[in-house]
Amino acid sequence: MVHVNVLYHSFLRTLSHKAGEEFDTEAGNLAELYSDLQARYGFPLDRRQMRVAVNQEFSSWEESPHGGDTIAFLPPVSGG
Amino acid sequence: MTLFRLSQEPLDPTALRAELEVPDGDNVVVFEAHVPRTENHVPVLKAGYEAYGDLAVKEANRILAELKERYSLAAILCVHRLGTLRAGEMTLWLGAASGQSREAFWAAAQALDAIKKHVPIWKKEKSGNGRNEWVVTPQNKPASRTFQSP
Repeated sequence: MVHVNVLYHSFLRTLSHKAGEEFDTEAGNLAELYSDLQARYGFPLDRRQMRVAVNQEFSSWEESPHGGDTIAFLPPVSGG
Repeated sequence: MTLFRLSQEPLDPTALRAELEVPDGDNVVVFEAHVPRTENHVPVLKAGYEAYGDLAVKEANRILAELKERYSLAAILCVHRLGTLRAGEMTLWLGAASGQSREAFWAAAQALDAIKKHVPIWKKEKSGNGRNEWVVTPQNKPASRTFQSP
Protein backbone atom coordinates (compact mmCIF):
# COMPACT_ATOMS: atom_id res chain seq x y z
CA MET A 1 0.00 0.00 0.00
CA VAL A 2 1.30 3.45 -0.88
CA HIS A 3 0.21 6.96 0.01
CA VAL A 4 -0.51 9.17 -3.02
CA ASN A 5 -1.80 12.65 -3.77
CA VAL A 6 -4.35 12.74 -6.60
CA LEU A 7 -5.35 15.90 -8.47
CA TYR A 8 -8.66 16.38 -10.27
CA HIS A 9 -9.12 18.76 -13.18
CA SER A 10 -12.05 19.85 -15.33
CA PHE A 11 -15.14 17.69 -14.91
CA LEU A 12 -13.29 15.26 -12.64
CA ARG A 13 -13.17 18.05 -10.08
CA THR A 14 -16.86 18.79 -10.63
CA LEU A 15 -17.84 15.16 -10.12
CA SER A 16 -15.58 14.50 -7.15
CA HIS A 17 -16.33 17.91 -5.57
CA LYS A 18 -12.65 18.35 -4.79
CA ALA A 19 -9.48 19.58 -6.45
CA GLY A 20 -7.49 16.72 -5.03
CA GLU A 21 -7.06 14.34 -2.16
CA GLU A 22 -4.50 12.16 -0.43
CA PHE A 23 -5.12 8.52 0.36
CA ASP A 24 -3.55 5.08 0.58
CA THR A 25 -3.98 2.77 -2.38
CA GLU A 26 -3.31 -0.85 -3.16
CA ALA A 27 -3.75 -0.31 -6.89
CA GLY A 28 -1.08 -2.12 -8.84
CA ASN A 29 -0.90 0.49 -11.55
CA LEU A 30 -2.41 3.81 -12.57
CA ALA A 31 -5.12 2.14 -14.64
CA GLU A 32 -6.35 0.29 -11.57
CA LEU A 33 -6.21 3.46 -9.53
CA TYR A 34 -8.33 5.30 -12.11
CA SER A 35 -10.83 2.41 -12.16
CA ASP A 36 -11.12 2.65 -8.38
CA LEU A 37 -11.85 6.37 -8.65
CA GLN A 38 -14.32 5.84 -11.48
CA ALA A 39 -16.26 3.50 -9.20
CA ARG A 40 -16.07 5.98 -6.33
CA TYR A 41 -17.02 9.17 -8.19
CA GLY A 42 -18.71 8.01 -11.39
CA PHE A 43 -16.12 9.42 -13.76
CA PRO A 44 -17.69 8.80 -17.17
CA LEU A 45 -14.71 8.58 -19.49
CA ASP A 46 -12.77 5.44 -20.19
CA ARG A 47 -9.09 5.85 -19.40
CA ARG A 48 -8.26 5.41 -23.09
CA GLN A 49 -9.77 8.86 -23.61
CA MET A 50 -7.63 10.31 -20.84
CA ARG A 51 -4.00 10.89 -20.03
CA VAL A 52 -2.24 10.55 -16.74
CA ALA A 53 0.67 12.47 -15.26
CA VAL A 54 2.88 11.63 -12.32
CA ASN A 55 4.88 14.33 -10.60
CA GLN A 56 4.30 16.80 -13.46
CA GLU A 57 5.35 14.38 -16.21
CA PHE A 58 3.11 12.44 -18.57
CA SER A 59 3.10 8.78 -17.59
CA SER A 60 1.67 5.48 -18.79
CA TRP A 61 -1.30 3.66 -17.32
CA GLU A 62 0.85 0.62 -16.65
CA GLU A 63 3.13 2.47 -14.25
CA SER A 64 2.82 1.62 -10.57
CA PRO A 65 2.07 4.37 -8.09
CA HIS A 66 4.83 5.10 -5.62
CA GLY A 67 4.60 6.59 -2.17
CA GLY A 68 4.48 10.37 -2.29
CA ASP A 69 3.55 10.54 -5.97
CA THR A 70 1.32 13.36 -7.16
CA ILE A 71 -0.95 11.83 -9.77
CA ALA A 72 -3.15 13.85 -12.12
CA PHE A 73 -5.80 12.29 -14.33
CA LEU A 74 -6.19 14.51 -17.36
CA PRO A 75 -9.46 14.66 -19.30
CA PRO A 76 -9.40 15.49 -23.02
CA VAL A 77 -8.09 19.00 -23.33
CA SER A 78 -10.06 21.91 -24.75
CA GLY A 79 -7.77 24.92 -24.74
CA GLY A 80 -7.09 27.20 -27.66
CA MET B 1 13.04 33.42 -24.26
CA THR B 2 10.05 31.51 -22.91
CA LEU B 3 8.03 30.27 -25.85
CA PHE B 4 4.75 29.70 -24.01
CA ARG B 5 3.14 31.18 -20.99
CA LEU B 6 -0.21 31.34 -19.25
CA SER B 7 -1.84 34.62 -18.32
CA GLN B 8 -4.54 35.59 -15.87
CA GLU B 9 -4.58 39.07 -17.42
CA PRO B 10 -6.16 40.17 -20.73
CA LEU B 11 -3.85 39.59 -23.69
CA ASP B 12 -2.32 42.63 -25.39
CA PRO B 13 -1.70 41.73 -29.04
CA THR B 14 0.39 44.84 -29.69
CA ALA B 15 2.77 44.07 -26.85
CA LEU B 16 2.95 40.40 -27.81
CA ARG B 17 3.66 41.25 -31.44
CA ALA B 18 6.53 43.46 -30.29
CA GLU B 19 8.13 40.43 -28.64
CA LEU B 20 8.53 38.89 -32.10
CA GLU B 21 10.69 41.75 -33.37
CA VAL B 22 13.85 39.72 -33.81
CA PRO B 23 16.61 39.55 -36.42
CA ASP B 24 15.78 37.34 -39.42
CA GLY B 25 12.11 37.30 -38.43
CA ASP B 26 10.64 39.56 -41.10
CA ASN B 27 7.84 37.17 -42.09
CA VAL B 28 5.38 36.98 -39.24
CA VAL B 29 2.20 34.95 -38.88
CA VAL B 30 -0.10 35.93 -36.03
CA PHE B 31 -3.16 34.03 -34.89
CA GLU B 32 -5.68 35.10 -32.27
CA ALA B 33 -8.40 32.89 -30.81
CA HIS B 34 -11.40 34.39 -29.04
CA VAL B 35 -14.23 33.03 -26.94
CA PRO B 36 -16.94 32.20 -29.48
CA ARG B 37 -20.01 34.41 -29.44
CA THR B 38 -22.23 31.47 -30.36
CA GLU B 39 -21.93 27.69 -30.25
CA ASN B 40 -24.41 25.71 -32.35
CA HIS B 41 -26.44 28.91 -32.79
CA VAL B 42 -26.73 29.38 -29.02
CA PRO B 43 -25.17 32.53 -27.53
CA VAL B 44 -22.10 31.92 -25.38
CA LEU B 45 -22.11 34.09 -22.28
CA LYS B 46 -18.66 33.31 -20.92
CA ALA B 47 -15.93 30.71 -20.84
CA GLY B 48 -13.61 29.67 -18.05
CA TYR B 49 -10.15 28.30 -18.72
CA GLU B 50 -8.02 26.34 -16.30
CA ALA B 51 -4.72 24.53 -16.75
CA TYR B 52 -2.53 22.01 -15.04
CA GLY B 53 -0.10 24.89 -14.91
CA ASP B 54 3.44 23.58 -14.69
CA LEU B 55 2.82 20.62 -16.98
CA ALA B 56 0.93 22.78 -19.48
CA VAL B 57 3.81 25.24 -19.72
CA LYS B 58 6.38 22.48 -19.93
CA GLU B 59 4.52 20.57 -22.64
CA ALA B 60 3.73 23.66 -24.71
CA ASN B 61 7.32 24.87 -24.49
CA ARG B 62 8.48 21.46 -25.68
CA ILE B 63 6.08 21.60 -28.65
CA LEU B 64 7.08 25.11 -29.64
CA ALA B 65 10.80 24.46 -29.23
CA GLU B 66 10.50 21.44 -31.50
CA LEU B 67 8.72 23.48 -34.17
CA LYS B 68 11.15 26.38 -33.83
CA GLU B 69 14.02 24.06 -34.54
CA ARG B 70 12.24 22.10 -37.28
CA TYR B 71 11.33 25.22 -39.26
CA SER B 72 14.40 27.28 -38.30
CA LEU B 73 12.15 30.02 -36.96
CA ALA B 74 13.56 33.29 -35.73
CA ALA B 75 10.95 33.28 -32.97
CA ILE B 76 7.70 31.68 -31.88
CA LEU B 77 5.52 32.72 -28.97
CA CYS B 78 2.16 31.64 -27.61
CA VAL B 79 0.23 32.95 -24.62
CA HIS B 80 -2.97 31.32 -23.36
CA ARG B 81 -5.41 33.11 -21.14
CA LEU B 82 -6.78 31.56 -17.94
CA GLY B 83 -9.76 32.55 -15.82
CA THR B 84 -13.27 33.60 -16.75
CA LEU B 85 -13.62 35.40 -20.08
CA ARG B 86 -16.56 37.06 -21.79
CA ALA B 87 -17.67 36.10 -25.30
CA GLY B 88 -15.33 37.73 -27.79
CA GLU B 89 -12.37 38.06 -25.42
CA MET B 90 -9.02 36.77 -26.63
CA THR B 91 -8.12 33.34 -25.29
CA LEU B 92 -4.90 32.65 -27.17
CA TRP B 93 -2.30 34.61 -29.07
CA LEU B 94 0.23 32.84 -31.25
CA GLY B 95 2.95 34.31 -33.43
CA ALA B 96 5.69 32.79 -35.55
CA ALA B 97 8.50 34.79 -37.15
CA SER B 98 10.78 33.47 -39.84
CA GLY B 99 12.95 34.46 -42.73
CA GLN B 100 10.66 32.29 -44.86
CA SER B 101 6.92 32.98 -45.08
CA ARG B 102 5.87 29.39 -45.71
CA GLU B 103 7.73 28.10 -42.67
CA ALA B 104 6.04 30.67 -40.47
CA PHE B 105 2.60 29.52 -41.66
CA TRP B 106 3.36 25.84 -41.23
CA ALA B 107 4.84 26.31 -37.80
CA ALA B 108 1.95 28.47 -36.59
CA ALA B 109 -0.68 26.02 -37.85
CA GLN B 110 1.04 23.02 -36.35
CA ALA B 111 1.70 24.80 -33.08
CA LEU B 112 -1.99 25.60 -32.74
CA ASP B 113 -3.04 22.04 -33.53
CA ALA B 114 -0.56 20.56 -31.09
CA ILE B 115 -1.43 22.95 -28.28
CA LYS B 116 -5.15 22.30 -28.71
CA LYS B 117 -4.55 18.58 -28.70
CA HIS B 118 -1.87 18.00 -26.09
CA VAL B 119 -1.55 20.84 -23.60
CA PRO B 120 -3.58 20.29 -20.41
CA ILE B 121 -5.91 23.28 -20.56
CA TRP B 122 -9.67 22.94 -20.16
CA LYS B 123 -12.61 25.15 -21.02
CA LYS B 124 -15.96 25.45 -19.30
CA GLU B 125 -18.60 27.29 -21.31
CA LYS B 126 -21.72 29.00 -20.05
CA SER B 127 -24.39 29.42 -22.72
CA GLY B 128 -27.52 31.49 -23.04
CA ASN B 129 -29.65 28.36 -22.79
CA GLY B 130 -28.53 27.81 -19.20
CA ARG B 131 -25.86 25.21 -19.90
CA ASN B 132 -22.62 25.53 -17.98
CA GLU B 133 -20.45 22.61 -19.00
CA TRP B 134 -16.90 21.48 -19.44
CA VAL B 135 -16.05 21.17 -23.11
CA VAL B 136 -14.84 17.72 -24.06
CA THR B 137 -13.38 17.60 -27.54
CA PRO B 138 -13.90 14.05 -28.81
CA GLN B 139 -11.00 13.99 -31.23
CA ASN B 140 -8.52 14.57 -28.44
CA LYS B 141 -6.67 11.37 -27.84
CA PRO B 142 -3.34 10.63 -26.24
CA ALA B 143 -1.74 10.40 -29.65
CA SER B 144 1.96 10.62 -30.19
CA ARG B 145 3.22 14.06 -31.05
CA THR B 146 4.23 14.06 -34.68
CA PHE B 147 4.27 17.12 -36.86
CA GLN B 148 3.77 16.71 -40.58
CA SER B 149 4.26 19.47 -43.08
CA PRO B 150 1.10 20.14 -45.07
